Amino acid sequence: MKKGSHKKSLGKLLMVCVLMGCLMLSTAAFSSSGFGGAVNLLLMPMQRVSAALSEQITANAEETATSKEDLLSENEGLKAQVNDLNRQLINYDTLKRENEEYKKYLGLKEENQDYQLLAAEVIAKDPDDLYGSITIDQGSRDGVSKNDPVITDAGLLGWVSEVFPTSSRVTTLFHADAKFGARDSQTQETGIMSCTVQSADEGYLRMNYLDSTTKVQEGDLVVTSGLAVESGFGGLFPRNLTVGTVKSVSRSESDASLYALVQPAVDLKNPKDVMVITNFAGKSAADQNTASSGGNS
Amino acid sequence: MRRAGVLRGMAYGAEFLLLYLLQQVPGLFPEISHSLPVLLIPAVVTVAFFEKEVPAMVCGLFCGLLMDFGSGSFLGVKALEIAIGGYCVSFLASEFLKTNLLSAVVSTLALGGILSFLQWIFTAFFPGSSESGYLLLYHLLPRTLYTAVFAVPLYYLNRFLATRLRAPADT
Repeated sequence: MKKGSHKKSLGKLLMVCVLMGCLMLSTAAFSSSGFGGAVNLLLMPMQRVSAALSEQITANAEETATSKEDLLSENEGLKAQVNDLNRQLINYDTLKRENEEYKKYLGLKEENQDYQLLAAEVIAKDPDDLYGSITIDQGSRDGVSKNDPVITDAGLLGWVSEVFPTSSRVTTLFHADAKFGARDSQTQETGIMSCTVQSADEGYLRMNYLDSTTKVQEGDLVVTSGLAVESGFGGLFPRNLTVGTVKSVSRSESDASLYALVQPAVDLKNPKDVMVITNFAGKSAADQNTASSGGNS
Repeated sequence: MRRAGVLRGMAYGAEFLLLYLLQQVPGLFPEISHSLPVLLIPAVVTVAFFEKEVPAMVCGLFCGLLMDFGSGSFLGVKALEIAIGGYCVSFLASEFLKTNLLSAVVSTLALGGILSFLQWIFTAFFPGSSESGYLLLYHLLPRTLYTAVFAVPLYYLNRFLATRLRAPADT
């Protein structure tokens, strides 16, 4: 290729570099949610379909095949009916799944009348994210706001870190920024939950700053304390959301305190159907605490 | 010739969009050493082998912007990195490299490695994370290798698109 054409293309590359630099500066100075929101509006339906298809294919993989002749004859007769019934079935399945999800949370709702819950489905998982954040199919239009806690029927999953009109990004408890107050439900001792990359790979959270005389032991249930902490989320999470079960108690590497390894109650790496707590008693105070402590990502 | 270029551009665009959706489907690809493949990287590299510098750069830009929107980081970071990567791969492929599968795989490893290294530098090393070494060895390196595996089918796919959707005068 001639040198002249290389120079031309190099000039175009430099122009692109300048443009991208300006884009980075503008999104750093202002907000990228406008751009991201528009793109998510376009991509979310496709993400939903691809996630649903993947789940369906996995579920059907184990079914045994019927004979080809039987299938062909059945197919001929039912084609027209099947098309119409499938349309009704999609709506029915969606409503049924949502209803089953809500039933699981009925006990939680009865104990916490102040909770406003919104069912959501995991539609995407970013492979470029080192901590495995996920995307759900509910956004600001559905009442989701930043820092809303996200739970499953088993317990706490994480929090909403970014909101778009029709989808939201959820950061799980395995993220390095996940620091919040927790309490041993048996001994009532409090600590601060956090996570390291290594402990996340092993599937554990850490409950730090336990006293040397702690009575926390293996098998104890750990729940959110709802208390403010200096760094992290303040009172971001309401009280008594299940975090996990104590696996072991060990001495900290950096000081004289002890820490507990906690097995999360939720499968943080492969969540499917979740609930967003869009409102709870004390949420506005929790948001203020979070804002004054420096916020979170 | 222009029509063939537009057709190829649309085909590449649809391919990138599909790969972007596929790489984000939960549970579609098994996690290997806590890592998932980033399909857009081998896609850009293999396209760059068959296109000139500017189209390859545009492909990198498009894929990078998709990844930026999905990750929630500053817009333009990945776009800039992959645009430069696409440009460089195309330049090297036209001047120095042979257009074959081995070159495509090695180029994917190189670009994926550079992108992972840059991510590590800014998210772990500079902030002074105590686990930066662990992250590099047990997360980013496996992800680079896992991603390079997909250069094989994507090389053949993009070679097919590049040769079929090209006007006779271009060949």
